[in-house]
Amino acid sequence: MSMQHIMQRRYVAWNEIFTPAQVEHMALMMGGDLRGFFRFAKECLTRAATLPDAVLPLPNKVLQDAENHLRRDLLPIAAEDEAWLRKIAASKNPELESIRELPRLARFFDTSLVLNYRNAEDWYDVHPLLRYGTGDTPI
Amino acid sequence: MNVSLALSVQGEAHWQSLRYHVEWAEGFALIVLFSSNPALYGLLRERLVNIYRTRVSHLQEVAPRSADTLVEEVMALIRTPSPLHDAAVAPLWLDVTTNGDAAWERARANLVARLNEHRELLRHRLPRPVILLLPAGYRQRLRTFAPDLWSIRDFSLELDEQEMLRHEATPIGERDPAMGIPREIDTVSRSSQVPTFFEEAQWLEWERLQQRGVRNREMLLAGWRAIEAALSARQLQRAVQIAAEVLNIARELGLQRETPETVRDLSITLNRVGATAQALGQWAEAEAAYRESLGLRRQQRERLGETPETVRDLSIALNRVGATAQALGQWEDARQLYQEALLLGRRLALAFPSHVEYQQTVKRLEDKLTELPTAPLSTSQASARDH
Repeated sequence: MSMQHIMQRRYVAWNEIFTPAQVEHMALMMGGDLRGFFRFAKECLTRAATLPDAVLPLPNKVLQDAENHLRRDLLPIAAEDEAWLRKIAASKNPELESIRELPRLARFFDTSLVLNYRNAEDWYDVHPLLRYGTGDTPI
Repeated sequence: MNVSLALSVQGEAHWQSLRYHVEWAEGFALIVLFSSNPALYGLLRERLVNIYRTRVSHLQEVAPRSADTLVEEVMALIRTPSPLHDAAVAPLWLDVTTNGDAAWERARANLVARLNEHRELLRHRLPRPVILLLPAGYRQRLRTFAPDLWSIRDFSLELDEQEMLRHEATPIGERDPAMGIPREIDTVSRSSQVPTFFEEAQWLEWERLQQRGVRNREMLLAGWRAIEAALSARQLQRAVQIAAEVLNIARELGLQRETPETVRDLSITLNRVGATAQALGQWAEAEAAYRESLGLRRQQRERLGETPETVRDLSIALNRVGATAQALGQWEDARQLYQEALLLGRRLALAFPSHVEYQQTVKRLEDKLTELPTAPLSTSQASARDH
């Protein structure tokens, strides 16, 4: 079931507010995390409500601002974490060099800095908000 | 210095977001705010209190003050049903920012761990918005030590003072000229021309950065403050010199990388240049600088769309050009510019009814339009006005 279908179940007229491309973008930027996806959508709506003139579907600028706000929730990242995250981003593997480092890796999962995808075989990547940042993001 | 506590444009936008997250919640909604500035979060709390004062429900405020009983007090609050609050979806404002000793730090960490452990209890027993207020910089700890709690947040915000507060005397943002002349740069009524310690510090800082040879945004910020301090102290030649150098830097930064920020910085700088020329009575130069700034702000609105910031910036620029047109006796131009500014001002006032500045701006623009003569001045009158 696509995110558009899920959105449709929640609100039939969703496509008056978001374009299909925007929904796709929100889904990609949240790495498929449902809760994150709806947090993103809600953040867009509250921001749009503060604009002097409401325009529908929402301008991309609203999505960009919401995305930057959500990205801040993942920052800052310690330098030593950043180095490890870069390796994960490059290899799509956990890059666990020692079992003593397991708690650190667990923390990456707990805090959603790294996501575990399970289509066909398991693979890993850093959160898309960090990978596709707008210039000032570390990964 | 005349420093008053009021939200900046960005602060207002954050407040509106917070407000909608609270008001739109139909059940449990976790909102986490981080701040160690009681005045700042107090301002937000006060606004929520005022909103809920007119409703059946009200803002329930809890601020435990003893480290020894913190965890038990909060857990008891969660465990004990409050049908009245629940039925009214009354928001809970839970302030655990107390800046205490190590025992307090431990108690706060324990509380966060307990909430993490009992997040389902929290979610089911409190079917209403919960605003959890933690100290500034606590976000990373919360994310790390309470990941389950963090994952169910609806909204979080670090209340950054620099970003959220508008200090009347800080020229980082801009004051709407329709609001009149701020006391600290009211160069006409000021009785003494001896610079204050603050003013002197501004241009000393500017000179220090100049000696370092750095040409970055930090220089711009210092330059803006130094210009305003020089104008305030009636050191007009100093203001002219600094303004010229700051304008060079702003143009350079814009050429290196044209971003919404560098374009906005250039427009703010041009307004400082205009204000300097205006202080010298050079209205034509002031108008040229203000008009260039206006052009940039129209571009910004085209590029970024209508945000509170782009609308306010444009309204300010229109106001400034309008004032120079009025001073030059170009009344029809002034009228059109003021009318456009008024249109934008009214939209801002409507969108931000609690923002007093916007309401006052509208009033002053309406007054200006009423006071404008209908016929243009004769050439001699206009010339006389120049001097």
